[in-house]
Amino acid sequence: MINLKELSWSLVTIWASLIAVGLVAIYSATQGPVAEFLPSYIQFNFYKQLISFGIAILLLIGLQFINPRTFQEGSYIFYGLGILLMILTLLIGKEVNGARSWLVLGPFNLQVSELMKIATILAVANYLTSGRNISAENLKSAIIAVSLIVLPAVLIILQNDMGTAIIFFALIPVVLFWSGLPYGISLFIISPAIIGYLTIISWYWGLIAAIIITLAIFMLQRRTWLTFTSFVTGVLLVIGIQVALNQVLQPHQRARIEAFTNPSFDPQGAGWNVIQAKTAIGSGGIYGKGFLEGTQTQLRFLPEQWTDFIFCVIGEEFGFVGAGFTVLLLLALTLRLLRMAAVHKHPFARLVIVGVLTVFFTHFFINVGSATGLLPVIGIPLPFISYGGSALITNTLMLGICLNLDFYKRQFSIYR
Amino acid sequence: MVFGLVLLVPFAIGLQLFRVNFVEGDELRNLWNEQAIDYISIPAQRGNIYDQNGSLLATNNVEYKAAIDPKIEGLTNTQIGQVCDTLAKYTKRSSAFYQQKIKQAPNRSRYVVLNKSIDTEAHEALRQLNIQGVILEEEYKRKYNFGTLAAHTLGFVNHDLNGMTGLEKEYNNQLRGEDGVQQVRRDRNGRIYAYLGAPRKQPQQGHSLHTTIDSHIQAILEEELKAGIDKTRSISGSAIVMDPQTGAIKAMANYPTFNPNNPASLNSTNRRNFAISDMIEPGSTFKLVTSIAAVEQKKVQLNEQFKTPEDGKTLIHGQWMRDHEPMGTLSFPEVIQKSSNVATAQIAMRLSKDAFYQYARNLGFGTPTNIDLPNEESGRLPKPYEWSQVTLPWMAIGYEVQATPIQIAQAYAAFANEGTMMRPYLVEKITNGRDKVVQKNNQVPVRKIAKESTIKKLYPIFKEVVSDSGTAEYAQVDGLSIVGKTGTAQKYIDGQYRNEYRSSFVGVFPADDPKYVCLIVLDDPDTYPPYGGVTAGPIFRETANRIAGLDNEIEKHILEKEKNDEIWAYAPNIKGLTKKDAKALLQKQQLPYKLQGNGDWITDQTPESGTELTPDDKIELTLSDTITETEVQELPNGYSRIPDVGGMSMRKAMVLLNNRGFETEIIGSGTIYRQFPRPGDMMKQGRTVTIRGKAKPLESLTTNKSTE
Repeated sequence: MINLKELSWSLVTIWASLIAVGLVAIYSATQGPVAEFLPSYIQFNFYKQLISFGIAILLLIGLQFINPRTFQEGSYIFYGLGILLMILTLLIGKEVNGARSWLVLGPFNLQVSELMKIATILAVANYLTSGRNISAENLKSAIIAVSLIVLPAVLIILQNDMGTAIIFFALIPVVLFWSGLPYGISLFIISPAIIGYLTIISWYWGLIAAIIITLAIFMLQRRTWLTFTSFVTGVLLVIGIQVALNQVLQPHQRARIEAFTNPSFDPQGAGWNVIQAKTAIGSGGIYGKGFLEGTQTQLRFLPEQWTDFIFCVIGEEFGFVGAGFTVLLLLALTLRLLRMAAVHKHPFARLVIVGVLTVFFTHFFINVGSATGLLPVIGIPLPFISYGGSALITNTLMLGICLNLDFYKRQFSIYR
Repeated sequence: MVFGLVLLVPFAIGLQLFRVNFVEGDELRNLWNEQAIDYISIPAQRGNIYDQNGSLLATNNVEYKAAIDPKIEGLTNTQIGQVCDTLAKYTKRSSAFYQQKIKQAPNRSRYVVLNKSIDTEAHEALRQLNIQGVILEEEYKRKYNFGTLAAHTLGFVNHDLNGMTGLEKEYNNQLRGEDGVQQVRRDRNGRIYAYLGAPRKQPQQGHSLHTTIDSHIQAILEEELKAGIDKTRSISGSAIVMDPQTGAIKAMANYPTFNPNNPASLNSTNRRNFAISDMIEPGSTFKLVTSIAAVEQKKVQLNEQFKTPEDGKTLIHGQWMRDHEPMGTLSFPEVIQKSSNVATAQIAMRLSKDAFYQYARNLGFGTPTNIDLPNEESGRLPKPYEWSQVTLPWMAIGYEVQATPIQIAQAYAAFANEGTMMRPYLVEKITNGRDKVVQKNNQVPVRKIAKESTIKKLYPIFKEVVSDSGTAEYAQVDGLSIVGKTGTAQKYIDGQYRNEYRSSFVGVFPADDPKYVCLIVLDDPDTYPPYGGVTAGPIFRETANRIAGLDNEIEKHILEKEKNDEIWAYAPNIKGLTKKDAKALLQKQQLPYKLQGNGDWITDQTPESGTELTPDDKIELTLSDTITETEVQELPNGYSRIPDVGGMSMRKAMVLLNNRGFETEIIGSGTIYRQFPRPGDMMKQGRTVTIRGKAKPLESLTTNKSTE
């Protein structure tokens, strides 16, 4: 018999709170005094989000009645369907903001790449837990697992949606690590991201990071060839990025990087978004300017304030307290999912939850990092908070699946 | 470990959030303030400058800027149409032009400037429409009512309404007032997006200057200076009229001059006030120093005889000193009267260097007079240890020393004022917007230049200069006793004295009761002889003659003054006054007049105000029971034109205004000297006209003239 106490109500509360915060922010960003600056279809976004919320509630409830085995058994089918839809989108998709990632289905616009996240997580989790001899330590199976992730990522890059593709790449080390890849190698896999990031800020930081990572890998793994490769890769990366920055990149691409490291370099151009975003958050102070009172938001100084820069709206109107609360909510979501994964006994469920967690967490990190100037501006939404029907429904789907897997965890061991 | 890694990222985010909020917070908040909220200043009305009779010399023209907030709630297209039509009616642009402006404005703009300068009528018409969303802003432009009159003294203002020269600069802080502040919000393109309702600080009107300038004397001086310069074909000239007893500057003129209403239009040297900023070698006028020093130090007897060489020149320490003509043997008074350089040098050489220097110093040379004008030069009086062997004799005749015209005038003023030197000044008092005196400039005695007995001995001798036998023969005015001294100095250019001269004359009149010191300096007169008595003297004569004509007391001194057709006065503006006020005014100005018709109000006058009058001219005044509009213009129903009530009594003004359908608000009592809105404007009936009175009756009607 279904015992409702088994459901992770804390997670449901966090989920609802995040969406509520999002609705308040979206209202301010589209329905406040700013509305007169906005075309009516954007003003309508708030109501569309409300509708999506309604659908999401139904979805979350509905998902709990599904047999958890369905996810595992159907994972390849979902994956295959997803890839087909992705290709279809590439061919006949609708282009929005330069990215051809929307499939028009009657009255609905579907962002297939969002759904593809779920399908990919399920498929990879299924593959990595499908047999005894399949493990990330096994090179062949590791390559297959990585290929499962890279294939949709490449399609998404072809759709010209770098932001979403990054999420897929972020899945690789986490999934591999969780399914048994040694610490050292996992660290080696994520090291290019860390070194690259630091090199953009300044090359010697990148170099220092490369040395520290090499040392760490040596301590963890004690394998000469890995340590050597890591060091060489690190140094080559630092040099390569320097060369790319100065020689290879086009001026407008360089401007973007420049805008990140030094926004005041071109405050009216590439640095505009960073400066305005930071100004919004910084001017909010401790308690913020008040609901609908933020001038950065209401005077349209912020770009894309209902999606990519929604964190700035919160920061401006509700201040450090509001922004901090939002960060804490997202952190709670992450930790709750992490705990769920740690407690779960079934490897498939654990991998799925970790995958979902990774997606949320990467979104969270990149979005807030962009808004606060910690990262270059990469346009991806904040999970559950940013406007976006497909994203909200997909995120709810993912969370719903996690809840489902957790809900039925006692029955799960039987299906092993 | 995994937990730790996961926590690392939120920790970084938290840190960054903290950094953005608190470390960079202030900077970002500033940036935000800068870009989102701005304060624009509402210009304060700059204070007026009056002459001693209350004539407005400098005031402001108001211009209005019309803008619209097309997004304000309840603003209909018809209303926008109305606004555009109204604007089109009063300006050169079509209604469609304004419509287009509103349409082309960014669709979120809440501040669309329609016209940057509309006149009062258009402003009033727009206000009458009473459409919300119409934003009207005032903008002031400085206006000098009499154009070039006293241009150098008044100075001019820049586009920011900051004084650049003259009184405008010296008293800029007082005149300027305090700008008000309006908080506005700007959009991301920096345009004004909206007026924020609440915080608005009203501007504080600047203080007004009441100067010692007498515009009549100023006008006379300028005219005569110009005429004299034209006649003598001089390059330029400066002139000063000063009251020796108080130090008040009655007039100060330079020619060529400029129009402060349009200061940039001419050569910038024209804007220099040479009277205070030009250092010249004074020449013989400086002999005042020599004679005071010699007499007071008892180095000369008044009846002493001085022999001068037959050829009129003598060698002093290897340099030739010449008289303009050989003079033979001279008594001391004749030395001054005929301005003998050789004899003056002889006298001077009996004095010690230090004593001579001290007297020059006492007479104010080498130090600025501290007149309340900017850019005053101090002149150059070398100290005795810097002197050469020939400095003393040459300085005695006004070379090797540099003085500004104002210093020479001040020295002679002190001489005329029984030895008490007064600081020259221009501003009598400063009043605020409510006509309360905020600053009163006292007359400042600087020092005694010499013993009274010395002055008494010398005064009659200098009087002889302006006689048929003196050098200032041509400076005589029939019946007027004048003390004076001529001066002619060769110009020292590029290390050499040239055949170019600075000719000057300084005179005090009436000699018995000195009221005016008048100095005329000409730069390089081209007529022969160039002597100060021949070139500057006649300018003084004409000026003194006309000034005497203005001054009843002096006029009495003048015996058998020839009546001539010279301009004697300007007709004042009497239109719109009551009979009683008009009579009082004309009697005060001693203008003959004739009344025609019956009634209490003057409706017409011939000649018109501002016409030049000769003593024979009579002003004919037409009387009427009611005041009628001279300018007939169709007024919309329910509108009236605001009458000029300046100079009327409160009661009369109220009756008049109420008849026109206006409410009145009274501030103060007595005669009305200010009203708002300005007369001549059209206004809806039922609105309030504020009138201010002051107990003292109005001195002059020129005040009214300027408010037209």
